[in-house]
Amino acid sequence: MGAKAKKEIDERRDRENRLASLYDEYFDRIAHYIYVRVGDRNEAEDLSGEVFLKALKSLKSYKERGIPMQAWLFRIAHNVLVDHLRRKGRIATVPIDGVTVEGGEDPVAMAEKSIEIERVNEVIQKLTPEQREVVRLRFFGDLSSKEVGAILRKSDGAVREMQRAAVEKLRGILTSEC
Amino acid sequence: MTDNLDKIVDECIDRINRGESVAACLTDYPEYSEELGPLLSAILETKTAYSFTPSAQAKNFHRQRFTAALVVSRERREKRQPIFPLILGWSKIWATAAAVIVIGLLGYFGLRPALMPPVMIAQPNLEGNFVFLVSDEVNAISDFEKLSLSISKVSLHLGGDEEKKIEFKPEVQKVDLTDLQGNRAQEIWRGDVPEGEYIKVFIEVSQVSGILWDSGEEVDIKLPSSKLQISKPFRVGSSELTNFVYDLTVVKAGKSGQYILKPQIGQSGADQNFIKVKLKEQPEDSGESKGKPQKHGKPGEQSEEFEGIIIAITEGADNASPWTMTLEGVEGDVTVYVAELEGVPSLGVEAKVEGILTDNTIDGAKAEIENKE
Repeated sequence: MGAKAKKEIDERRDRENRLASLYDEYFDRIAHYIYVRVGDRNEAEDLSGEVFLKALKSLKSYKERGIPMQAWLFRIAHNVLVDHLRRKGRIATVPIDGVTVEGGEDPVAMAEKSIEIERVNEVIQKLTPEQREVVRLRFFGDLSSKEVGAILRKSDGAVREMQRAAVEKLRGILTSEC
Repeated sequence: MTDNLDKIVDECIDRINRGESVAACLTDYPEYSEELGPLLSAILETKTAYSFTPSAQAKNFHRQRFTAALVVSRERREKRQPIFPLILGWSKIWATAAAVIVIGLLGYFGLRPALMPPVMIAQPNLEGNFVFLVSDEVNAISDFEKLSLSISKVSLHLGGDEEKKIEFKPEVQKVDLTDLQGNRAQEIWRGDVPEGEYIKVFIEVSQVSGILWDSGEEVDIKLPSSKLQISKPFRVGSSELTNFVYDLTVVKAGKSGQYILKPQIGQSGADQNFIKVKLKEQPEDSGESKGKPQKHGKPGEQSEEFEGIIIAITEGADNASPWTMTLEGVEGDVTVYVAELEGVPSLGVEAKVEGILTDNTIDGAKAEIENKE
């Protein structure tokens, strides 16, 4: 075996190990990012699993000098999500933290929470598509503005501006609706 | 000043993401607190509304799938390129290191048996050992002339050592809860399910709508989720009949006044007294308009709202239609003829489109360009 082939195998193995090392922290973040769009706990968990499997299959195309691997994972998450929403169509469910209804839960509190989530969801829908994506990646994916910039192919400064405008708009709407 | 505030907001979002409080951030920037405070509160409110952590069970399950795929991928690669014999010949240390990595990964991630229970599809049988019924506990149901509900799937979780999920599609999918008040219950499925101790029951609700008595108005009824779960153990025997009543109730939320449909655990279970009502399935859409007001199309056709990207506009004029669009939930490109337009369309922008989709064409659509700022 030539030195080049061996180097390629080593690099591939190294990427696989890095991807595996991201699993614990980024599974939760990706699931959260997806949950905000699909509103269903089980779907969010399953799609997050799919993101890691797709990443593993696509590792060959991952460029070392491109974006950080965690940001690349979110690009895959975005594509998985878009494919899923296309397949599923627009099904309106109210996203809620914890879809299960157990004996001890207070149904009215649960209902009020679902309405509050819906209210925030409606406010988010009033942002531009780019602002929405910045909010999802920053607030729910917990990514830095630099990582968000890498995903959206924008500079850090542009992301900060978009995020500030989005937050101003959120504040304005949330305050006026109170 | 603006650029500075952008940076401070950015830093504070990072800190809030790490778990720090809004107050801690404001303390560090007292000169900006008046402007910064409401912004950070809005961020916190948005984040808090969507708090979510995936379950450990699901995370482990998907970790196991990922690890297995990783191992398979490496094995395939090694088969394609007979590297191991060469490496072994070259250095035993290399082979040991490779084995340590694989074992380390397996140890770290844990190659455990599947944590998600296997699924078994139960078949209907008029002589079966299990009957699934739906009922309604009286709360706000008296506000309704009609409250129709479509249940697309039921899952029963069998507990014990060999956890299993038993699924079936109800034979009667659409019920009217106003007919099922109090002890009244409607059978929606009967068939054979395995003997054993069951721990949870899920129903998947695909549609719910209600018509109010007072106004005749159709109102939205909110669901906590499309899947509703009740955790109430019950036993199914092979030679005896088990009737499980799944009780739902509609309540009016205090603050918002919205109607909410939720499972009622106290009135659900295999130990409930009930009066079985005659099986009655509501006919499919009769052609009358019951949903949103119809703006276009023939009677019986339902105007729907879509969202998607404009990928082509008729040549010659930017505002002209038809547009070619990719729409969420629709396979293939869609041609959209616009009758009412809000905003200025251009290639690549997102637009909301309302109309009737026929053969990947929407004629006479109402369109709104989303990023028209």
